[in-house]
Parts: sequence; structure tokens; C-alpha cells
Amino acid sequence: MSDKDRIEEQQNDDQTVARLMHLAGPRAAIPADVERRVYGAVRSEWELSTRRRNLARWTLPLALAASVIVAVGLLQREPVAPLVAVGTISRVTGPAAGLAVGDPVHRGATLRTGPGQGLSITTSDGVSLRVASGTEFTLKAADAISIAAGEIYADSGERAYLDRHMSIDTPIGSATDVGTQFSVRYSGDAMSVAVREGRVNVIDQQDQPSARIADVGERLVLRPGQDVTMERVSVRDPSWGWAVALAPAFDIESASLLDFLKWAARETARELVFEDDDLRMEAMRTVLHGSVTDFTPDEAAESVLSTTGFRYRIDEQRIVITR
Amino acid sequence: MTDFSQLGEDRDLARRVAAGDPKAFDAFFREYFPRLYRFTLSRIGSDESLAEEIVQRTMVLAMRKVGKYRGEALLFTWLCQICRNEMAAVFRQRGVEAERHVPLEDNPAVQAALESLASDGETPETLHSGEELARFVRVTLEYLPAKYATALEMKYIQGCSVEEIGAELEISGKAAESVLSRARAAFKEGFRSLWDFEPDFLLD
Repeated sequence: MSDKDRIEEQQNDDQTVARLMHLAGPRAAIPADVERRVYGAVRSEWELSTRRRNLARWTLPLALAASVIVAVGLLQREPVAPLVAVGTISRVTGPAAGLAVGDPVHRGATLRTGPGQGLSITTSDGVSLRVASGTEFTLKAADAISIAAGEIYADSGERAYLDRHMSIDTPIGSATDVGTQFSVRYSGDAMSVAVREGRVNVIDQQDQPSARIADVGERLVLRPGQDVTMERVSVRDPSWGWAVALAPAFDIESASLLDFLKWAARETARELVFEDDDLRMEAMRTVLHGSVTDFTPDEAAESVLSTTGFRYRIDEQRIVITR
Repeated sequence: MTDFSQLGEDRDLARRVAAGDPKAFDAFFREYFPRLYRFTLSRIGSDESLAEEIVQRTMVLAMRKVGKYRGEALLFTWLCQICRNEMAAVFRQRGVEAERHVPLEDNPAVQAALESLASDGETPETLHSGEELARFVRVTLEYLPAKYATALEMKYIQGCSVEEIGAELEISGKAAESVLSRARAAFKEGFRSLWDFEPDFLLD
């Protein structure tokens, strides 16, 4: 092809593209607030997924060593399944239990908490499980638990669409969430399912199995031979306090203030309010350093906010950030 | 035609995102969020809140799966597949008939008809309005790397100089000229491979 032909072809290309581009017109502008919101959500998931991938990289080498610790700790029976880690200890409270933060929990392991003890486990699916004192349960899989006695709170995350569900069963019935925060308590003569966020499918497994939906702010109580009853329970009821105190620590190092506040607000069932969008953006750009590992979400929120330049107000229902 | 150098770049970007590199994450978001948003909007009409939800779901899932991306298809193609699945899931949840939202280019029957028309030498333009053709152009742009689409839009819609394009893309004017040239070629090639007919054929 001669230079003349090449130039002519280039001009034709230019004209063709110009005409088509004019025909199409400018592309739709993307609203800045949409971009901000999506960025925040995707970034938050990316940070979580990165932590999970890093954790998985270390889980296998640690599994064997940690299984010894588990055996002399809270474990009542050896796991019957092969040693497959389905979760990690994320917080331990109360008297020394032989378990430490970071220890793996294996599929099939049966654990029991004694008086005054509390345990928090993050499953390999990212679900946060909080175990009240005096509870015995078996982690059948990363998404299935069986309670023999006591109470477990599960938080499968605010993103219901991630298809991350947790089933908790008892001899009386079972509960499977639809992306939520909920607790299941079993005491031998009754099973209760309380919902703090989202919804839970509850199956009554007695003589005539039946299904019910428990909505946010409801507590369903199942008793053998009796009709299911429903009670109201506020999302900020003090009865959730033990589970909030067992929230896995938020790693603030290099995290954004916005992500931290969203976590604190959700854990304490408060609404997070910014005076305006610019303030929200500022919180997103503010990178935190340090550690609040030993703090409850309330203590952590106070501690972190007092070290930033933001003005704030924390009341019973809201965390309000102002100028 | 698969661009193997692009595949290599995509694999590298995905690897860095999976490893937790914040710069890679920002580059990933800047490159793919606008394209996915427009890709989605062109398939669901003008419901911006629905587009936001679908794109957010898509990118959140992509963050969970990015460590498994092996570079067998371009990153954007991989994301579009997740996006299509999410669209279908949202429609199912809302009880909307997915068929109402299948765009022309995703409908195998229409695609086959287009191919058949093109091979018979008939003019597809006779069957498609200017708006349809405009949409073809917009969809083609979505498949191009973001900098190519930006360069083409700045040049042909906004009438910007190569220096201005360079400033926007943070490259020199000479490099912008080169980007424009590659963008034109990629646009034509993209149009050909997506629609199976020459772009200039439509304008004759």
C-alpha cells in the first residue's frame, strides 16, 4: 500500500468514526453520587475479600498446630470429619478457654462455652457467629450449626445478595437467614429465633413440619406441642448486648473512617447520618491508624471519632457526623 | 479476535487486585465501573437505581472471585458475564420477565438474522433506525478500553485537540495521537466483530 493509499484510508476511517460517533452522541454521564456509593460498597468488599484470601493462605499450615490447642480447650469431642477449617476464632471473652484469636475451627467440631465465657467465630464464608455463655454446639459446615443448648447470634452481612446464608438447627426446629443478623436460643423445652436485621425462615420440625418467616424486630418461640408464638423485640433491646460485645474487632489500620463508622453503626443498630455528601466523602478519604482491638463497638466509635477532626453525636438511635 | 497483550494486562491487574494492591483496585474501578454502568443501563432502559444495584452486585461479586480469574477471556467480558447473571437474578427476585430486557445483541435469533443479512449483502441499515445504529455504536464503545472510548468521545463529540485528550489521559499529545489511532482501529474492529458488518457499510 502506498503512502497516498494509507493516508486516504486513514481519512476514510476518520470520517466513518466521526459520523458514527456523532450519530451516537455523547455517552450518558454517570451521577457522581452513584459512583461514590458503588465505590464505597465495592471497596469495602474488596478489603474484606483480601483479608479472607490472606487468611485462607495461612489457614492450612496452621491447622495442624491449632488442632492441638483446640483439643485441650473448649472442645468436648474430637471432630469426626477430616480436619477442614471452616472458621476462625475472632474474639474470646471471659475465663481462659484454651482458644485464641486466629485459631481455626474445624468442620464437625463440637464446642462448649462455660459460665461467663463468650466466643466469636468468623466462618470461611464471612459469617460472624457469636456464642453466648453456657452454649454447646456443633459447627457442621461453614454455613450450618446445630445447637444442643444455649444461644448463638449470626450475622451473615448486610449484602443479602451475596448468597451467604447460615442455618442453625435445634431438636425442635431450624432457622435459615436471608442475609441478616439474628439469634437462635435453645433451652430443651423451647427454641426462640429473634431477628435484628433482615428476615429468617423458621422451620418447625415437630409432628407436622411447618414454615414461618420471622421479620426484623420479631422473636418467634417454638415449644413442643404448642403453637408458635411471636413477641416484639427492639433491634436495640439490651438482650442483644452480649452479642454486640462479642463483635469481632474492626481492624482500623489503613481502613477508611467511613467503613469503620458503617461497621460501628450496624453493630449497634444505629443509623449513620452525615450532615451532607461532602462530609461523607471526607470520611471515606480519611484513613485510620492504630488499633481498637479490645474495645466494644460503642467504645471503639467514641475512641476513633474523638481522635478525628469530625464533630459527632452518638445517641441511642443514631451516629451523627457534622461540621 | 482476542487481544493477547490485553489478556496479559488483565491477568496482571486481576492478580494485583486479588493481592490487595490499593492502586490496582482504584485502576480497576476507574476502568470498569463506567463501562459496566453503561453496559447495564443500555440493557435495562433508564432505571438508574436498578443499574446502580446491578453494577454494585456485579463488582462486589467480582471482588470475591477475582482471585480465580485466569485470563481466559478479557476482564470486561468476564465482568459482563457476571453482570448478565446478576441482571437475571434481580429480575427473578422482582418477578420481572427477563425476556423484556434482552437487548438485540444478546438475542441469538436476531444475531443470526443480522449475520445472515450481512452475508447476503443486504443492508442492515434498512432494518434499523438511526437510534438502533446509535445504540450499536454505544455498545461497541462499552467494549473498548475506557481510555479509547474517552479519546474518541473527546475527539469526535467534544472536538478536543490531541493535547487536551493527552491532558485528560495524563499522557503527551503525541501519545494521545497514537491512542486515538489505536482507538479508531479498535472501534472499527470491535464494530466488525460485534455486529459482523463493516461500520462504513452502514453509512453508505
